[in-house]
Order: sequence, then C-alpha cells, then structure tokens
Amino acid sequence: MSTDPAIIADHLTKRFEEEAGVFDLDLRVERGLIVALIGPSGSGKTTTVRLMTGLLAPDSGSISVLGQDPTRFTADTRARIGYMAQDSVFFPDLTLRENLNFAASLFGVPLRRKRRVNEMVELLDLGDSIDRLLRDASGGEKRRLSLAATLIHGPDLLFLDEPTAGIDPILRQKFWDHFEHLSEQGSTLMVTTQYVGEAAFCDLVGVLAKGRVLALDTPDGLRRRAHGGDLFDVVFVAPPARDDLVALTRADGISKVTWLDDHSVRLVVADAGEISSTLADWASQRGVELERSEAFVPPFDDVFVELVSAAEDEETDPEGDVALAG
Amino acid sequence: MRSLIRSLAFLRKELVSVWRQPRLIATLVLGPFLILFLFGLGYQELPEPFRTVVVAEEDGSAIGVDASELDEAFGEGIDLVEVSDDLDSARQSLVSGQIDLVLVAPEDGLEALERGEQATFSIFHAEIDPVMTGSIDLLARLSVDQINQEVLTGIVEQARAELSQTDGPLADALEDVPDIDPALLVSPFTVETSPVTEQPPSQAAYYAPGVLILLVQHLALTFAALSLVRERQLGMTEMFRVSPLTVREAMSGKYLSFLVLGMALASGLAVTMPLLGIEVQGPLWSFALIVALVIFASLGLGFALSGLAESDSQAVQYSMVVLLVSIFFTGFVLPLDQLTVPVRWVSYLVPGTYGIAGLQDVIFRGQPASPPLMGALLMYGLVMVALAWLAVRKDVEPANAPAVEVS
Repeated sequence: MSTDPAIIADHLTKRFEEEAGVFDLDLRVERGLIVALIGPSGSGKTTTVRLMTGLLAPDSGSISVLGQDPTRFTADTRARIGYMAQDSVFFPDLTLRENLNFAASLFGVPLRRKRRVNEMVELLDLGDSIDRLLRDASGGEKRRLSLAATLIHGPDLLFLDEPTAGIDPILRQKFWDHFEHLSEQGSTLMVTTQYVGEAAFCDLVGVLAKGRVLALDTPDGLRRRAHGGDLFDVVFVAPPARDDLVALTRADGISKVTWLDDHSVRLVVADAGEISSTLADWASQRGVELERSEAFVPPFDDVFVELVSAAEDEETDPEGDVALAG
Repeated sequence: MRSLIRSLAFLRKELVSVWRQPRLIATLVLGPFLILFLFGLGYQELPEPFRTVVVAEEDGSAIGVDASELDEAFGEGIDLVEVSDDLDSARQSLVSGQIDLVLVAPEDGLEALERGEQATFSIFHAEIDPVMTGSIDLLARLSVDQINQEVLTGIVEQARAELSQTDGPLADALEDVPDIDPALLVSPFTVETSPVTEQPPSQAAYYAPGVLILLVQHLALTFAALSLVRERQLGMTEMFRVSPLTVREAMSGKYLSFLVLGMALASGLAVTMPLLGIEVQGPLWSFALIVALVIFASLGLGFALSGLAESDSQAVQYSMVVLLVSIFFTGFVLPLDQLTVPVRWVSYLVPGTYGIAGLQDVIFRGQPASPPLMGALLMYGLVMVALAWLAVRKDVEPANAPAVEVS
C-alpha cells in the first residue's frame, strides 16, 4: 500500500458568485486518518468535498487525491472511493435492498454479494426496512441506506458529507464507532459535519468559515488554539485576594486568569499536565488554600465559536489582538 | 465483467421501476391494446348515408324519372328521407341538422334538353369537413350520372318501342340489331380494380401498422427522456459521476431495458392483430427487425431530447411534439407523396416514417424489410446514439458536469 498522503490540496480555489466558494485551501491528509471539516452552512465544506471527488474542477490551485487529479480519476481509482452526498438520493420505486444492490453494481461489486449486503444491513440496523420501497422509508432509513451504499464496496477513501445529519444520537455513535474501525483498518475518511462535537472523534479537524480554513489541527490542538492554551479550573476554599491572583498571572506557564465566581477562576496555561506543581508553589507562597483544581476540556461548540469569532474580529480589525474568551 | 455488472444494474433498475408503477403499466400495455381494439371496432369504412330531401315534382315530369324511384338510383350513399316541393322547409331542416343534403331537381329538365341545354341539379349541404365536402361532391356527380342513365334508358326504351310499331327502313334496321338491354346500351362499360396483394387491407387494418409504430415510438421516446431527466432531478447523477460508471455502460443498460419493454409491448400488439383480421403476410423476423430498429432510434431520440429538458414535464412536452409531428408527417394520416419535397424531409427526421412504410410492406405486401429503408433507419439510430451520448455524458462524466453552487 502506498504511503503517500491520500489528499494534497495546494492553494485550492473555487469561486462562485459573490464571495461563495473555497479560497486558497491548503490541506494534507495522511492515509488512515479521520479528518473532519466543520463550519457553518455556506462555509465551503461541501464545495471542498466536491472538489476532492472531481465533481467540481478548481479555478486555481491544485489537488491530488490518491495520487490523481480528481477530474481525471481512472475507473480503478473511482472504485476505491466512497462518496456520501449531503442529500440521500436513490430511486423511490426500488426497495432499500434493490437500491443498495444498484449502488454495489455501480462500483463493480461481484453479483455474489448477499453476505456483504447483509453485513451492511446489520451494521446500519436496516433489517426491518430493507425490503421496503424507498418512497415509504423514513429520513433516517434513507440516510442509513446512503451510508451503506457508500461503504458497500469497501473503499479506501471515504468522503462523507454530513453523514450524521438527522440521525439519532445512538445511531450517530454507532456510525462514529464504525468510522474509527474503518480508520484502524487503513481507510481514510473525510467527514463534514455541523455537529461540532463530532470533531472530538477525528484525528484532524479543519474549521471553515466563508470558504477559508481558519484552523487545521488535532482536536486538542484546536482547543489550545482557540483559547491560547489549555484551560485549568481552580476552586478556592475562600475567595482569594486580587493581589494573589495578579501574582498567579505572573507564574510560569500561566497566561491568563479569569474569574468564574467569587471562589473560582479559570486559567489559560501552556500545558495542563504540568501546571499542578506551579499552582501548588503559588498557593504555598501566598497562603491560599485550594479546594480543588482540574483541567477543563471545553466543548467543541465553544472552541468553534472562539475560532470563528477570532477570525471575524481579525477580519474587521486585522491589526488588533485576537480576543480569547475563557 | 464489472462493466457488465454496471450495465445489468441499469437493466434491472429500469425494468423493476416500470413494474412497480401499475399506472404506468396500464398506460404502457392496456392503453395501446384498448386504443387499437377500439379503433378497429369503431371505425366505419363507409360513412353513414347522407339523409337527403329531394325537392322535385312527385311525378318526375321535369326530370324524366319518377321521384319515388330516385332512392334506388342514388345507391347506398344517400338515404332519401322525403320528396318535397317545399325548398324553404327542406333548407330549414338542413340548417337544423335534421337532414344532411337537399337535392333540388331542375324545374324544366326535359324542356331544357329539348332546347339543347343542360339542366342543373342543385345540392345544398351544411358540411364543414373538407373531406366530407369532397365526398358530397363525388356522391352528387355519381348520383346525377345515375339519373342521367335512368333518363337515357327511358328514352332508349321509348324510342325502341315506338320504332317497333312503325314500318319502314328504320324498323327493319332495328330488327337486325341485337336485343340489347337499354340500360347496358347507355352504360356499355364498367370497371374493376384488383390489388396485386393477396388480401387488400380494410381501412381499419390499413392504419394498424401506423398505430403500432407510433405507439411504440412514443413510449420508447418518452421512457428514455423521462429516465434521464428523473435521474437528474433525483440527484443520482452525482453518484454516477463519482462512481467508475462509464457512458457506454449506462447507455447499454438503458437501451437494453427499454428495448426489452418496447419489444414486449410490440409483441402484445402484434398478437391482437389477428383479432382485427390482420395477418402478417411477410416474414416475422422482418416485422421484429423493423419494430426493434424503430425502438432503437426512438430511444436515441428520447435520450437526446432529455439533454434539452430540465424537468419531466418538459420531457413529456417534447415527446408530445414529436408525436404530433409523427401524426402528420410519417404517412400515418396523409401519404408522403402529398408532401412537397422540402417538407417531406421533416418526415425522415421521425423514426416512425421508416417504421410505418416498412411494416406496411411486411404486413400487407408480404415483402421482407427493405434493406435501404432499414439501413437508413439504422443510420438514423446511430446518429441518435451519438447525440444521446452527449446527453448521458453530461450526467456521468465529472468533467462535463455543470458547476453547482453548494455550501
């Protein structure tokens, strides 16, 4: 198996009317990773996926997927790719099973495929509805069929455009468990989502807004980037004096202290794993009694809001400092 | 092998989709059967006789024929309702639709003859259909010819009777003349027409190949156009573009599926033909070949038209336009010879033109499919394949996909 990156995008640009599209996208996705593109509606997630699948040709820049230009994919390369579109699209007059078989045939899965079909049916919990006409199926069933059709041929590289939209939380977790399983088996997954929390399941997360990548990092990296470091919450037995807190901001590895209430503060630190000793020294020196202290993992919604807000602030005031909220 | 799997996927998908739509099956199978059956059942080769009032003197003194004998003289085309001397009343009946014709005998027919002048019968009608008007003209001439013969027969009979009672050279000469029927004497010649075919078709039967071809053409064209447009509307084309599917695989699957459906329909229609008294006198393989080529060409035309349609209603509109053109330009209603040459070229843009001519040869003349005609239809079908290729390529190959703005 090749060790070249699955996807390389270099200054990739696709411009629609007004300011819509994707602009100057640089991306490098190693094989076997799960990469999420998160961003609000209209941020360019789907356009990015369509550029990577060859459904759109870029205006400028370049893109290489599995070593080929997507607009010139060979049939063999296409057979190694799975694409789940944002909208579930199949034939309403066919049953879910017939639609699944049609998708399997499109990708050249041999006709003796009953076992494979049954695996997909079981994985996606489609047993009760597999022989129902698609026009009678629920939205969730259509979505599951769409994912089954994307996975049926065992692709090396998956593009999943909002795969969990409209899916209940239990099934959503099941989807992500399977994505991780696929990743462990060597598949590469590019997933777009509006559920920002799903970024936590990924190896790499790209945050998009207005067609531009605001940040591309690991989930932990993004958290640090959003807040300027790790977050660490400290609860005091008695409210600390202001001078004590000023001294805390000057301690090594602490860049910011924000009041949460009278008895607690949130610290922005360089590394949450190494701040405990610094904190203990400070408490000892200042005679402050700590009730408890622990690393705070902010929800990705907050991370996302921070990054987008920071980008917007930078856009309106490019010279100004990026504001980070605690 | 994978290529075959992909083509078969389309074959199966199209057949199952049609099967799952009972109304469509009714339209596809029962509709054409019923149309053909009703057409054969209800079509009258001869129109109803014209209900006619003759305005003349009862004794026929003005025209030399008793008015009561006119009914026999007119034949089956005219139903003599009444002999009247009231022209105004007869015209009122005509206007109110109670009768179809008013035939006014000349008031001084025999007197005009004695003066050496031709007397005129007048016919009034309220018909607006040009074909029926032509029929009335023809019927009027035949009826007046018949009356003329009746008058002449009477004159000959009278002259012979009078001469036989006289002495002299004329009476002697008459004895030497064979005793020829006066009716034969005034109408010595008649005519018979004989077709070279064994069994000339009835009028209903004559239209059957045209009905079959136009139905098959219309359904193949509509199905082909709708198939692509619906896939586009469903958004399936995005999956096609990402998959390894090629234009050739998609087209071969679709062609094959609709060819199977079209041939099944045509077979069903062919089975009903004997019920209408139609026997295929030529080889059956020719029949099948012509129908298959018409379906092949019509599918190509349908796929090509789908490239212009943006919705299924638009696709149906295009197919209806082709059907309308087919009715007037394929020889279904009017013989192609009656079209001037530049306009006749339009006829050859429709697959049905080749199909109707070919099927008439096979069914009625007992001839196999004409190689030049079938060659032309095959060429037509291949040109349509090329145009269809462009339409399908747009749906299957990413490089040809239109740019769509998405989030």
